Amino acid sequence: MARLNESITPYLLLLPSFFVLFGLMIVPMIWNVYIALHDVSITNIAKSWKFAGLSNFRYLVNDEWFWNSLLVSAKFVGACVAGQFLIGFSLAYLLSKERWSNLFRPVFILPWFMSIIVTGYSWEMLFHTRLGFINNYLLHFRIPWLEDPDIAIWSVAIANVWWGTAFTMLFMETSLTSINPEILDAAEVDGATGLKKLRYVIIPLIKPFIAVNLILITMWTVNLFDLILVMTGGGPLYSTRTTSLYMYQQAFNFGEISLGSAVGIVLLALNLVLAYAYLRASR
Amino acid sequence: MAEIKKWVAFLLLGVVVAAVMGGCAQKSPTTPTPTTPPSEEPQKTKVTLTAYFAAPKDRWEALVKAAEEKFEEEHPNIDLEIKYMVYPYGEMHKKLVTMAAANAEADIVSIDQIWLGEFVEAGYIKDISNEAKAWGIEDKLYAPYVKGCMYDGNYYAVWAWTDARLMWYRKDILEKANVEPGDLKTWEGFLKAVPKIKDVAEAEGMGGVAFPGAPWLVDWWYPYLFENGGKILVKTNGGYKAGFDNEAGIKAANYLLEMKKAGVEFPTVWKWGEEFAGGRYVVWFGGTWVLGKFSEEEQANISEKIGVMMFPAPSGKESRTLSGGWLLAIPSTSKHPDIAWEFIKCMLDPDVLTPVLAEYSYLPTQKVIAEDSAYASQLEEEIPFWPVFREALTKGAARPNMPEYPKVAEILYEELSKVVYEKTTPEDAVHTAAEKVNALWQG
Amino acid sequence: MGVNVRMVRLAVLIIWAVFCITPIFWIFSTAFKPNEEATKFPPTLIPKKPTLENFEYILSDPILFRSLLNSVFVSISAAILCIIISSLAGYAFSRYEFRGKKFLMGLMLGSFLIPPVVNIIPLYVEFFKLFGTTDSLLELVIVYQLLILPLNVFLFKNYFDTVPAELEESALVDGCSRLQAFYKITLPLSKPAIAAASIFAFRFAWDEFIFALTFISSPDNNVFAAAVYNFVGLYQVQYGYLAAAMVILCIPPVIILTLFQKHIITGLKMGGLKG
Repeated sequence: MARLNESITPYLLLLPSFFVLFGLMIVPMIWNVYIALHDVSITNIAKSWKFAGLSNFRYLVNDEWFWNSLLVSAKFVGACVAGQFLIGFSLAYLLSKERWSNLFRPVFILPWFMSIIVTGYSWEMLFHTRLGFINNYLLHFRIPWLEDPDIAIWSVAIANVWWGTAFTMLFMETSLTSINPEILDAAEVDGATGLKKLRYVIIPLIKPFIAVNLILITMWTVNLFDLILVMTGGGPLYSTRTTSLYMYQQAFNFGEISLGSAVGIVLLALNLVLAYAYLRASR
Repeated sequence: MAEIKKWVAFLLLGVVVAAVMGGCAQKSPTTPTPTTPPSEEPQKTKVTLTAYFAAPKDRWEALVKAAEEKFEEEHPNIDLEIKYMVYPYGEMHKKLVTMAAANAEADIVSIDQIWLGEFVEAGYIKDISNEAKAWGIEDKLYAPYVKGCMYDGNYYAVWAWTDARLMWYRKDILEKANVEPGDLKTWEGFLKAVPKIKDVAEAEGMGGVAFPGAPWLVDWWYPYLFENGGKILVKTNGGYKAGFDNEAGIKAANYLLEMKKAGVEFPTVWKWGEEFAGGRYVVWFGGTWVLGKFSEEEQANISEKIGVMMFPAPSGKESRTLSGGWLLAIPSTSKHPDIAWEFIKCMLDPDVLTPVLAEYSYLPTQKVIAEDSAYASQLEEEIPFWPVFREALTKGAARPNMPEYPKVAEILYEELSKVVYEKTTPEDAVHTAAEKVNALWQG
Repeated sequence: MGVNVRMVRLAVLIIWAVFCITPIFWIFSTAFKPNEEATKFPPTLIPKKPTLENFEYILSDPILFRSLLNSVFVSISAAILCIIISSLAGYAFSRYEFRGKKFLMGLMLGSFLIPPVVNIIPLYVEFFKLFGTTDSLLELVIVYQLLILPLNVFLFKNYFDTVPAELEESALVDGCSRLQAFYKITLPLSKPAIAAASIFAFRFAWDEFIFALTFISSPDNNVFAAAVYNFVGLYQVQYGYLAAAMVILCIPPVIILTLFQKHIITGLKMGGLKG
């Protein structure tokens, strides 16, 4: 394929995309830092901003609910990533051997196609302590899925796993198909079958894919808060208020925009670390 | 291109179907066409007012319509059009904040009583002291509500209606549990009854007693604080300090814990009483608005099955409750403040307001509506539990309205929730909350 | 022996399939129940009194209906805009070598990794300062580009890589400009890519709710997903209505999934997994 070396044209073609990217991603990141160093609230956006130095960050350090949010995020991300990956990988593996995989696959992808609102509210309808499907139909006793501070975060995680597993499943399926069948045959000849083959042959071969997958879903889960907003709004007693939700609520429920930006920077730092890990792992 | 065509066709089909369905059922209730009599004098000044109200929508539809008719009577030379939009509670607040930030023009807004200070300080609300006094606000409204219309000594809004928080119960289940409604009047009696009620309820597949968890826990806790003589805030030289950092507060906080231990549920997903109307709980702490959650047929004979009473109180003390409701105010950016005020007066006119209150079961803030038989009888007839509601009217207190109040409520919510979830003791909760609240007015 | 393993495997897959379907089945079931039955105890799986009144209610509400139309408008506009922008970019990456190519590709990829919601606060401030208000559907269309641009750029790039450049070469020889060659030759050959890209764009824009919730304040400008969220507060919800709204919300994605399943899976594999 002959490639071209015309000087300006490629840049012109790329201009719109990068203009969008620059304006909607890079510029805001810089703004974020600027806002976090000033005193901006929803009432004075249009007016002048006082410089505030590090006082927003100092507030965060002293706020017990900020530290709580980090803990909640850790729990939530841990549960979601573990759930999505283990289940997603297992599904991919099972589907690769199943004759009727084409029947199952669309059903498995269906949740991922649901909007967050549908996911959130449908699971709320299942989880509602008094009116919900699970407590009324499946169980004889009532579990306060969304109302107990110790349980709520795991319930939301279940909803997220329901929604997001499809991505890992597809990703892992692709990675499995990338394995040269001859290697698998050779392994079987050597006596490795079933689980042994899985553990000693397949997994090592797709390690880079696994790493990329894990980093991607971690990144997306760390930043996710709309599902939580819809299902619990952060409660009960902030037990489902992840750092990302904390950021959103500070800015838009309490009007403390700079405080939200400060949290945003913490999140951003986390994201950049994960992005870097991703780029290294996908080499 | 076949794939794309297929997709586009489907989409268009969907839009057409939706449009037809929606078009058939379309109604446009937010801009009612003003009825101009056919052959009046052509010299009418046209005025359009824009208003922003908080959900639910139906009460405003009825009220605005009736007020428009009244306005037409009193001001035949003005052709008035009201354009209004209704927002959910949270969005209403956000909308007001963004309007204040952008100095957006509006003529009438509904404000929750607790927001008054915030928006006055933002410079967004017009001072209507003169108009209000001329209207006679101090004589027309009950004292607690007059206070709620004031900030910093001036009048900025009129408290249009209120509601009260009460205890609702199902008579049949209570009977089965061998509990007399009178047993629930005292704190101790209530606690004793809870397990009994719960057992019978579970057998019937219902929940026992429910008290609001998030997000309104604080508002329902205040009656207990008031009953013990506590206050939310007390004025000091430099501002305010916590009025609950005392035995009253501790007792009230402790009672929450006792309720939890006795088996009271604290649901955090809140459907405003639908759960009770749907037969999910036996005893439900809800507002006077719960009545509206029952269907028409159920409301007809409701007092046979359902009862309502004031909050339990410690023995020897009087039961109290918390009053909410909505205020009507005129933004400082309004171009027609005089006409807006005239329209507000029409909305508040007893002839106009009473039927709306009766229909949607809200409580009047105006003495004449509650006491004059011409109006009170309407309320009596249409609101089944009027005597109890009336009692609540006089025993209710309002929350503070200075800008710092929402933060106060949040602090109390956090600490009291910890009590309910048994993560801290009532004393610690009260002291920590008081510390944080007091800090709001220090430097 | 083999049969047993197959049984277990099938059992697991079926369990997960049931798990996937249950919430969706439940909202469909609830949507067709009258509200009283929706919260009745004991709950019913199949509606005893199936009714369309919930849908009528939702669609006859002027605000919700308007927001539905807005959603269609925004989703289609966002998709069209995105296809134009991303196909050009994908073409550039596919056909050209130029200084900084690796860097720019990395940048594009990196931006895909970071979800836009992280920047929602500065974006809000930025748009507020630029346009004086954030309450505009056009602004949403612009912001939504951020959601799908990177994915589609790579989707197009990977697809264009598979279209032989010789075809364009011959067109150039015949006197076409590069852009004409792109428009007349490459694009028509890229129908699968365009289909996949527009599907993704439409789907992400249709479902999006948090930006709409934050930016839009007037009911006239809302999109359906956010309007439903407000609706929950507005009418202090009854499950029947809510379920009907959910069903309406998930109809387009479900239709798209059923019709274009193959495209989607190939598209995902092309765009998201290579990059």
